[in-house]
Amino acid sequence: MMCEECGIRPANFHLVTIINGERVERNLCPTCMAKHQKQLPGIDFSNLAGILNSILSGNRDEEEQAKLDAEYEMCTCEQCGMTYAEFQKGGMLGCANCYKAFKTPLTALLQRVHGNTQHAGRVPGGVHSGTSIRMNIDRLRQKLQKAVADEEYEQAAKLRDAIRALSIQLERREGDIKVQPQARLKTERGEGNGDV
Amino acid sequence: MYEYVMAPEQDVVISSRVRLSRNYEDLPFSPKLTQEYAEEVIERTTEAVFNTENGAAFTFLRMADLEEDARSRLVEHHLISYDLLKFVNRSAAMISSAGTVTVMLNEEDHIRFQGLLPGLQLERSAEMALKLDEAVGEKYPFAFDHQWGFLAASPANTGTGMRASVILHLPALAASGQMGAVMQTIAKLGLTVRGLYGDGSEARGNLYQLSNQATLGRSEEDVIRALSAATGQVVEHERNMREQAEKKDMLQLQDGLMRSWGELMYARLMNVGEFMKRYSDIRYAASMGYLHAPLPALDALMMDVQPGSIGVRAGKLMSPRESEILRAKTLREELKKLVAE
Repeated sequence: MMCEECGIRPANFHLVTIINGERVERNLCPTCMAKHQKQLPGIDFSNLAGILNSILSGNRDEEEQAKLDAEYEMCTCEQCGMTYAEFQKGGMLGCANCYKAFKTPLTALLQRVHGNTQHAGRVPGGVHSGTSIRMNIDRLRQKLQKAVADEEYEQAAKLRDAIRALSIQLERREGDIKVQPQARLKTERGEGNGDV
Repeated sequence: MYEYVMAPEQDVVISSRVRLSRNYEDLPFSPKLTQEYAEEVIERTTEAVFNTENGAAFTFLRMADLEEDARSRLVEHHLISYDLLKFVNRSAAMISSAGTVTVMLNEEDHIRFQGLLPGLQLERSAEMALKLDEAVGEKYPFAFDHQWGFLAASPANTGTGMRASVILHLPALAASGQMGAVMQTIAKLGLTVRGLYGDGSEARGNLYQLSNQATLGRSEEDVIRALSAATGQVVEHERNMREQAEKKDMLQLQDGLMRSWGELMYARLMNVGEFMKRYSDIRYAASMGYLHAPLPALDALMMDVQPGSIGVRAGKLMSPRESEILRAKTLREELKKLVAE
């Protein structure tokens, strides 16, 4: 579950506040939680065990991310002038080049947010799409060989899955099947009061 | 006489929606988007979309040109996102005549393509959005990276940029007290569930939204398939609970639900909170065959009496009391028409 405030970091806190007798529940990440703690009185600690548990399990990732975040704080995208600190505050990047400028901390962030750092979906339409999937597969195969050689099997398994996903996609594209309308579930079935 | 077509699984699934986030590769993203660049986004996109095969079906609307009620009405009908209104000075939308395809401009990303259909029709909603995405992207390239996919302003949307969701009506599950368990199971599948209106586990009108969480690492097809499958399971669960409730005490169930029909048919003042409760009851009753009112019409009416939409209907600024009066009156008239047919 993502933080309901910033939408970027995973939510480790369940914040319950009672405002004018109305109960409001929100799921927040530690950073946004800290902001709220300063602002809001009357935090309900009834769920303390759950909070502690999630802090402990999420702690290590948090630490690593915090280290990277601190390291890159002053880093600036030369294209649009966005600083990494600015991104951390607003949660949005300034241009496509920001993804290159902040590549290292973003890789860690994407891994935490999506559990993955390799795109497995469509590529932009047009004549080059098939080619670029193939390029992608080639690149991943090289990485896979290296991972196997280094005995990094977890990484190798991830790469294998990514290659498989891309290969399926390539097949589909070359068969000129765009979105495969999956076995129509129970669609087209008229029922109930359809003919009123 | 109206003709109503029931969409797949419409007894439980109200609608299916797919949104795609896209940004032009050569223009700055939202935080650095000046008015000039925002205009460029609008110019490029409108040109590209109007020139597609069905381009003539789109209406272009600048948010700054609309009254507040008209904007709210678009949000209430799910034609635009609430977030589009955070950028009123620069944001715009292109909406197809049937309301099934929307292009939002200068929201958090340059473009959000949206496909929206009644019932469980995620594949077709995705197809509609992706088709338009391809047509525009062919003309003006989108920011894309081979490792990270389509680059979004927020890294949370990077990858496919696709957010697929369904709106579910779950009165029997909610009444059984099993929503907590269902939510937990769904969270384990990498999906998010939340009340459509209101916070946390409380959902107005027993309406819940189910959507995918991650956008990076899985193909569009995979995500759609997983969400469709999970939705199918929730649908079965809800149907079972409805059957059980009927088996337990049908008269009691009918009595409870049909009382809401009575309230709606005769009330003189109706606020939104109460209306959503009554709507949930009569929708439940209609799905069980206790009430002969078509579900698509009930859903359309539900959106039409939301605060912004009722304001547009009045055509003037109303006090809260005036809104309640008009809502009650509209409901009496429209519901009478529905059952008369």
